[in-house]
Amino acid sequence: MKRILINAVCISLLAGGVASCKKTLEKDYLNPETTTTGSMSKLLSGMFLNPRIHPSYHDFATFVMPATAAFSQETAITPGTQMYIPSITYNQARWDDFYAGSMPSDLSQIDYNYNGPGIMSSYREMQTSYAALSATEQAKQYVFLQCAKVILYDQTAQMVDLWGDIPFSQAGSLNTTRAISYAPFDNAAAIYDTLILGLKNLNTYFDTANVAPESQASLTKQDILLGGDLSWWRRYANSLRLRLLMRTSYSDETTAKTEVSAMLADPTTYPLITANSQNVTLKMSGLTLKSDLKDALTGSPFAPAFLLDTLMVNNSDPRTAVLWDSAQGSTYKGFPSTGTVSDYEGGYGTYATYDTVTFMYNYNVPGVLFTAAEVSFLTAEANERWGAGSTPAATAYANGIHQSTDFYYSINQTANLSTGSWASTPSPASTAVDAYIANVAYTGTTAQKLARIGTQNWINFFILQAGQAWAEVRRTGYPTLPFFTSANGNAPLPPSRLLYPPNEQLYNATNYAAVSGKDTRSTKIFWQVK
Amino acid sequence: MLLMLLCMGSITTSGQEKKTVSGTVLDSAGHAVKDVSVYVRNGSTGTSTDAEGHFKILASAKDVLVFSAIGYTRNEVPVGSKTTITVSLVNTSAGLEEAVVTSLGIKRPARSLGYAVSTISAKDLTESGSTNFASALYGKAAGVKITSAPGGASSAVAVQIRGVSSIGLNTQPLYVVDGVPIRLYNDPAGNLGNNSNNNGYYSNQRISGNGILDINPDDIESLTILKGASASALYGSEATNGVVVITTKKGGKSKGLGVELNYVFNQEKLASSPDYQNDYGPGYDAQTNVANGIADATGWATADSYHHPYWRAYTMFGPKFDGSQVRYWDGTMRSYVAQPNNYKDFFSTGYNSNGNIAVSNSSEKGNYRFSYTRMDYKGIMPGSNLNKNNFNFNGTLKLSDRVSVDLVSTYNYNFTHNRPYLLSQVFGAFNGFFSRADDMSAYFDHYQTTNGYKYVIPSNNAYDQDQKLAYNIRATNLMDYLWTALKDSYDETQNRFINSVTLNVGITKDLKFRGRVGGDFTNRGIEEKDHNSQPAATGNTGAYSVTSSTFNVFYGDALLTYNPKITNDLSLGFTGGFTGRKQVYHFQNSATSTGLQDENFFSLNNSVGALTTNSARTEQTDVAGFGLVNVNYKNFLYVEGTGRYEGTSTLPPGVNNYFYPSVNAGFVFSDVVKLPTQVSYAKLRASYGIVGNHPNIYQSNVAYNQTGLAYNGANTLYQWSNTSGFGNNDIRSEKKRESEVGLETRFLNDRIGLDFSYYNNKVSNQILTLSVPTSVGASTVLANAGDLANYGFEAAITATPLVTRNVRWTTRFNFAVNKNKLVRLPNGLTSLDLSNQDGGYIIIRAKAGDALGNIYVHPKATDAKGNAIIDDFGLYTNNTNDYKYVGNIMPKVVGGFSNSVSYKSFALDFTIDYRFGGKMTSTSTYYQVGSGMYKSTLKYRDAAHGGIAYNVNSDANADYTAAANGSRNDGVILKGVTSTGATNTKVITAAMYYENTYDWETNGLYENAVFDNSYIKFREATLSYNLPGSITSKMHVQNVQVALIARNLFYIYKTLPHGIDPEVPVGSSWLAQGIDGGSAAPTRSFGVSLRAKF
Repeated sequence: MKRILINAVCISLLAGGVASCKKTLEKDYLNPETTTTGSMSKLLSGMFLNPRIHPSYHDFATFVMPATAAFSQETAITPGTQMYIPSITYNQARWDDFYAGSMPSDLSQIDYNYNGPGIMSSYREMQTSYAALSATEQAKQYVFLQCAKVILYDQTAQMVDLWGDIPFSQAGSLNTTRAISYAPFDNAAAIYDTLILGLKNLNTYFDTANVAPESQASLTKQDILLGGDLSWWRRYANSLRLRLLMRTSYSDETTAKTEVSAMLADPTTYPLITANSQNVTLKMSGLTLKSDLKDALTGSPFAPAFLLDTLMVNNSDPRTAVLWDSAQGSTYKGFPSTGTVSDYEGGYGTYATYDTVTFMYNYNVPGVLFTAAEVSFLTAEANERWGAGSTPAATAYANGIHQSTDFYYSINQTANLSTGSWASTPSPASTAVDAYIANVAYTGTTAQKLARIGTQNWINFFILQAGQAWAEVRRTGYPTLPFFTSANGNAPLPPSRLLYPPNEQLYNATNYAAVSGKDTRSTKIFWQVK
Repeated sequence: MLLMLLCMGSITTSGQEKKTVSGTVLDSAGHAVKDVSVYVRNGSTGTSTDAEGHFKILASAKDVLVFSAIGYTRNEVPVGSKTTITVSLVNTSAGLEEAVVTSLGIKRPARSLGYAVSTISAKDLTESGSTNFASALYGKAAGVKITSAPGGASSAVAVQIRGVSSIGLNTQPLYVVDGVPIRLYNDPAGNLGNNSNNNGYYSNQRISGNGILDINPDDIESLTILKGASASALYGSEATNGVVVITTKKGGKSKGLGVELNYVFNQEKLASSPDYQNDYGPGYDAQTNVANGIADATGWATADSYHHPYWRAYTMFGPKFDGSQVRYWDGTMRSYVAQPNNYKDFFSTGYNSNGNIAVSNSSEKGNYRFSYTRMDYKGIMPGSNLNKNNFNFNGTLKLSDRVSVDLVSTYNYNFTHNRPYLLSQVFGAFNGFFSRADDMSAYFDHYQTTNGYKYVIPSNNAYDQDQKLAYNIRATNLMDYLWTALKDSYDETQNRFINSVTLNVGITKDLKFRGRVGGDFTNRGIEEKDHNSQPAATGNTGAYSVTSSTFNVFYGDALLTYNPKITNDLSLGFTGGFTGRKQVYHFQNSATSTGLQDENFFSLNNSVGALTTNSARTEQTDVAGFGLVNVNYKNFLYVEGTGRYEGTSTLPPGVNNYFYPSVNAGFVFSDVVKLPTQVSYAKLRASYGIVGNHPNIYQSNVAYNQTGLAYNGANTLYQWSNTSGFGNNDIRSEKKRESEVGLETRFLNDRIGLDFSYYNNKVSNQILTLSVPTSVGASTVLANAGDLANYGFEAAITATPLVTRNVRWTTRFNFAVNKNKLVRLPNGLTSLDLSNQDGGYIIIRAKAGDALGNIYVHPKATDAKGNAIIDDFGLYTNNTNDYKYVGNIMPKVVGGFSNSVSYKSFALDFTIDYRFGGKMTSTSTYYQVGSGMYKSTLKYRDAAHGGIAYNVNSDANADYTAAANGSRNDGVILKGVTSTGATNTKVITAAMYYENTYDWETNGLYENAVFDNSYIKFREATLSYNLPGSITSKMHVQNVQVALIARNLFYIYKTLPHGIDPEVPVGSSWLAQGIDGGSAAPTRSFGVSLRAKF
């Protein structure tokens, strides 16, 4: 009898357990390591850590060096039948990083060489979080959304420059509605129009924004790009707008001319990045966020002969010393575009390689988003073509070269070496830079002058902004690069754009069908009309 | 009856003193039966019969002797005045009268079951010396497909029951040991179908294990496989993939101390090598050789003063082996000859030593068995080894007539050093391709320098310049593999406790209570030491990390059983109860970052960058209430109904409850209907049940991940949404409805038995991580996507074809056919891509209405008439806008054939298993064909092998003209038409043909990467000899058996070409089992075993 009693108690205890377990089941549903509350400021911080913004091994090894830098001849590549066929797998990864980002299978193993939040997905999540806020909170948090928009626009334009039409206005449905809604490919020119108009509005916003002190404190902390200073965001937005307008200046010259002229005529309303101190760069931090380019550059180490021999050495370019290492003390010599695999494989000791201190072993190579030098060269071009602004083209051209030189020397001089103890290179005398400017003098016909500007802009982009280099080479045709003609009849020369990645074709099939006709390697981006 | 026997015994006995009773045990055919346990009922003495069926035992006249053996009906004989007894045992083939352990540990007579089960005996699990019980199951149970990952004893074994029940989640059965569901995977991600060894090329390269490896085969008494939904319905959401119920050995039925000793030693070796060609060394086609400037058109180097081939070439189209002196890539001068054994030389000779001692005892107060097992194992993969210690205690304590307590306790300690890596980086990547001229010892000599740094390639100017390789090599991945396997160290220590305590109370005669609590606790520690691969002054390398994780399963159930006997013809059973389980997982890892400051000082205090540390924790709760009713009418009609109401924390709140019912019936119609006398037994079964499969823990969460970055001295926190595996708060459980009918019959005095089942199921709400374009915000999304259906047949035939005085032959044959179909996809989806290799050149796509596992490739481009279109280079082209179906990865029939032949004291047991139908994709094989590695690629290379003669106009432009007496004879003209429609006449070299037709993407024809995969394998054989009683009695041993054992002997038949092994694909997911990415090599083992009973 006693035993029966004990058993009855046992069973009722268990029954009680079942009754209370509904709560336990609900409590255990969510991963304690995650949160369902989106934070505007933390989502914004995530965008800066997108794996394509800062220099990383993966981006350089798989995309920059074999594709954008190779196609713009900022690096010498191994000749072969596949030399101008970029890997579709790596194109896919580049695409995915913009839309979704890349998360390690185990979140605790984040490697910034590979991983980071997406641009589009983070922006959409900010929109979702913003929509869930009260009106009061929305007013306070609006500033985060606006900063994020600048990043979104900058990166979106880079996507258009690579592929042309891309999903944009309706992309990211999972991040907004939590449901799958396949996004159509927006017209590339229309996307540019949206960005150009949006950046104008952002200029006004950053000028007039009245940010609540608690939001400002949070922005200052979370904005690791520009420290929460809206005047910096304003210059960045305007400079970006200048770039996009100039990019479209051959396809829609009227608009570009009007808008650029208006901007350059009124620097108070449209402040731009005019000094290296105003450059927009994501700075590295010790050993946690570091540029890790050694292995990537070892895979494509050599200077191209056209850049190094023809343009830099011949004209005593002061940047030579910080961009390149001469081959074991001999003279600077680049890899010729006619070289063979054998030449390439045995090239160490013969050809100059990327500078040890500035690039190879430097953990401090910044993520370059915008430099003063680019603004100068764009200003020079606008002045040369349309007489826009008050700075004469020749002055802007010379300013750009000075700024570019100082910029690359500063990377060299602020290097954080992964190993070794190589000395940095002291800055050249201003006279040396002037002497170089004299060698590449701003003279001749308008076409020759535009070629000078295009060439300097291209040198300035170098491998750190190889995507911009490739875009500008395609837009302007400057400089005229000597490409090796591959034996591959389908791909004898670099493509005009990248092919859409396979997963987008497979899984977004209906929308892809609408643009599949344009999906060839020879289709030009809308702004390439020359 | 029993009482009467006892009375008779007491009347006829003349005294209480013990006497020696001897005798013989025979089966129904009159032949000796060995290993029959003979003991005095309620007494303390016991023995067992020898190979001739003889026994001797001390007993008094009033004792009753009990004779029992697996496969035979138990028999009891009173001693009386007899001193010699001849006993006859009736063969039950698969133990009709025996109790089968079913769901929740409920024992039921086999004849009462309304669904199919497979029962495997302890002998089948241990006799051939398999390192784990699962790989001993090959071919032994109908409808159960085994896949053991290459990599040896530390590698996971996958079990698939009745086809695929889940596309995206776990497809492995639930394992229940002594009533406690045990941990199968090392972490909670296990329920994701892609867990453990699924061809991660970049990640998860180590071949991981799974939880069943820790269950010691020597401790298993019986293993029951519950296949259908009705059989397993009481396990609800765990049961979609079937349930394996394991009962460990208890203390002997015979009283007194018993000791068993088993020892197995196996040698493990590489079973076979691919069919390599040994005629040509490294080099590309003439055009590439010339363009690259390293070798000339003949493949000989021109760039330096030495005579040598193009060592860095990954293809084998270089010069023919001529024995000339060449400078090898390590700088030595060697003869240019083939190294036919270099593949073999990569692997080591492994061994497995397994010793087990078990002590058991029993008395009125209870019984116990204690066993200790020690295993030392070394596989064939370089650098890895494994040790295991396993302690098992299983005891029953009778507190009173009505109350007993069972305690089962297992402690398992494993140490794994350098868990082997997959070989996909070596055989699935050009950078792993060593040449036919390569001496494997050169790789073993050079993967590290004499100073202990990594090998120095010519472009490496950083350190140990005196040891620079003379030439660039291709197989750097092989060097890296050796570095990781031999230089670096990975030590994994696992402690695992599996415990259960069961309280049995007989409240009244008809009412019984059983309460059980149990746990499966695992603690794993991993210490990794990556050596500095170069001097610290030249770069930051090396790493040190420590990881620890615990995985704790708490389990409890309680059930009350009421078995009233209504009338003599009708008895009922009611059972009701609760079960609950909590799984708690903790993980912690700390590691150095950016390298080790002081070389090879392995400590977290020696990190160059800030230490990284991370942790994870998960908690999962599952609870259920259940009940079952069974009806037994006159012991020929049995009906059972079950229900389980279940809640789980892995489903979103509000939709986390499910009800899983089932019903089954067994009808022994041979007891009712008059059947021909040849039919000794016949039963019909029918059942229907519903089971489920939940999403994995946290898988459906839509939440933000928050991480921190130390940025300029502050910790910057940031958030991101999932970039893949985006959650879904509307997810539902997968639901499987299955009906099954079966027939069991026996003929000719049970000499032949047949068990046949047909089942039909539909699994709805498949939970998938659906691939989506990233432009929607993530690369994959969790979704309920579609319904899956399976139907199939299973049959098992047992027979005793031959019985004579000295010879007995029994045989068991089984086969299973499973047909699978994706019935429906949701919301306008037309297909699902389940696998995508080489940028979509080969995909596994499921369309609604098709079978799962269909393989598609881009077709060869053809004109309207079907002629291949040949491009301007003379090569085949692909139509990349289209896909063509080239087969399905699922087998059509799987099964096995086991035989036992005994002759006097000798016995031979062997098992053959087979698979027919289905394909395997192997890109690694495809690349190797394209690289000219195999014998088959000799075709076209000279006139004798079908090459066309041609003259060279220009190697640089690959411009050749066919000419009868041309200067070269390795030409190929592909059959087809040019872009203008004209017949193709362009001559290409054999090398160009292989390099391009089997290229990575571009011109590659991936239909050539898909192979038929059918085989018949001679899986295992055991030749055993039982020492005669005259010897064993002198040794004071009851029974001694010695045996020669062999596993994975050879293929009787296989369809895969180039010497590829049918079992190379690794991975526990059904999908990965059809995809070879270059895994590891097949093994074969031979050994001896010794089994003794004291």
